[in-house]
Amino acid sequence: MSEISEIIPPYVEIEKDKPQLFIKCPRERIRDLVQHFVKLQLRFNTMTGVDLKDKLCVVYHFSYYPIIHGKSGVINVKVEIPKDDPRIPTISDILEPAFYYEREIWEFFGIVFEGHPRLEHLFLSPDYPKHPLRKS
Amino acid sequence: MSSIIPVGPYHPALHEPLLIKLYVEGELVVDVDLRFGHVHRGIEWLGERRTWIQVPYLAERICGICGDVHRRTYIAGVEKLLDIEPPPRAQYIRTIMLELERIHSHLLIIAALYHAMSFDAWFMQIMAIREKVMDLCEMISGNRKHYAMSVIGGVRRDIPDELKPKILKVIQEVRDYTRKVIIPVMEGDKTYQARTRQVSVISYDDALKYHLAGPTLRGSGVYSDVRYDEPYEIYPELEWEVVTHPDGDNWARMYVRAVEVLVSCDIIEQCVKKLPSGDILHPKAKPWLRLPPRVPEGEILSRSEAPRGEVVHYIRSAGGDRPDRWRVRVPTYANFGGIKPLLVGTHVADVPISYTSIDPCLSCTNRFEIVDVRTGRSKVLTETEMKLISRKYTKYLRDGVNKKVLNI
Repeated sequence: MSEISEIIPPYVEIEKDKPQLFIKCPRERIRDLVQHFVKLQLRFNTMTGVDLKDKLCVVYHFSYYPIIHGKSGVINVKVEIPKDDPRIPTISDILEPAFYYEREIWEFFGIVFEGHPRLEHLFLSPDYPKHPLRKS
Repeated sequence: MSSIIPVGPYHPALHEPLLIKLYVEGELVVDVDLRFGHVHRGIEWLGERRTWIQVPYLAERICGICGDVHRRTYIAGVEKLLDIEPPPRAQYIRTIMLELERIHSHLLIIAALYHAMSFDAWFMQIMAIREKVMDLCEMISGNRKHYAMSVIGGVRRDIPDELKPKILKVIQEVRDYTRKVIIPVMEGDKTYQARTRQVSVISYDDALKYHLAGPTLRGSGVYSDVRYDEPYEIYPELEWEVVTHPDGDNWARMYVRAVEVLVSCDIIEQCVKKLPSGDILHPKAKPWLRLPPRVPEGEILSRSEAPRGEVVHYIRSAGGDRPDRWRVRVPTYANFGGIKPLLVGTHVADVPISYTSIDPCLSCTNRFEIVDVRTGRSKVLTETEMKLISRKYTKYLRDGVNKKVLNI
């Protein structure tokens, strides 16, 4: 546990009984957490949008480089977002690869990344009206 | 871009159309913009409407070159959620198929690079040796591609003992050819070096900053490979090494691939020699060949090293007979994050080579668009025209190199 607490700051909650490390972060603190992970040089694998029926969720996937950190494994950061207010701060200025992932999640789930420089369609046609991976 | 196609590529780069907007000043690329989506197939949407045992066939069809690794990644995730482990023999067979796939994928991209540089004789020769690997895959699985070998809890087909000498013979041929021909040509040919050395250099820091994947990352000197970072199947039991090169240019990326072919040959040889006897399917998994299992509630991130880099599958189960959410991140998608350091600052004639060096599928890259910043004129080049420019440049360099050699 002590090893984890060095990496995971106190404002996040660790989910129990999971085969991998899943943590929950409040949406206001996600930029702080990502900045913290960037400083630690964690690998940013990808971002996933999930529709949990009553709310939306963005999962940020990070992993260790054994050559830098001396251990392996993944850290999944979950941020839950209410459906009636689907907004979350962007991290594309901190982490360059998030530029495309955020556009993709906005396109498929309608989650608005505030401060993203170019929230345009990436895969679908520019006039596509819906967010197709929403379950409703 | 005025035509409207309602669905675009889920797997954005590999062998599917992609628009690269190059902003140039004279011959120099100053900015790049990408637009994908021309052949989006909605695979994630489809996957959420298929059962656990139908999705692997869909996952395999994400890519026409490295399909097996997608199938394996998905199945490994489901196995972890079900908390079962395939028997050792099945893990060995999976490893053999994954490495055969890596060999033919790497040989293909090396051949494609020679083609982009107008060395068509090399292209034909490397494709000929690759064909033997494809035949071997067909002997083992019944298919040249889309082997459908892994199933939940094991593999579908066994490797009979009489196939072992054939595998070892082909592996030896590939190893000899790579060691005696492909690598010496890379190290020795002056024109090849003039086109690739110090072109599109990605530094160690940039590779980490843009979170690149696979040989593109290792070609910049980063010691990272999912087979080593988060070992799966039987890789920890085998003797092999992660291949890196510190230069970070096109030459280093291709060199890493060539040496990885040798490493894969070693891995396959060890697997074939050590192949244990026993079952190829977990006893619990037999009914799941026909009926989908009930996967307990949970979520998992499954990772594997594809020929092009790290493949990531996020699988979420709500307790039913089909996934609640299935998300795929392919290596080329990660490498497109680094397209700016790769292409900005290069010459237009170098773009096809630099672009090939990150190993996307070029075959369907429909066109490049060139906008001249100074005049504002825009001109759309087809891939053939783009290759012609690249070939002319090779000819120019080759003549130059020959003259230099004569002068000495």
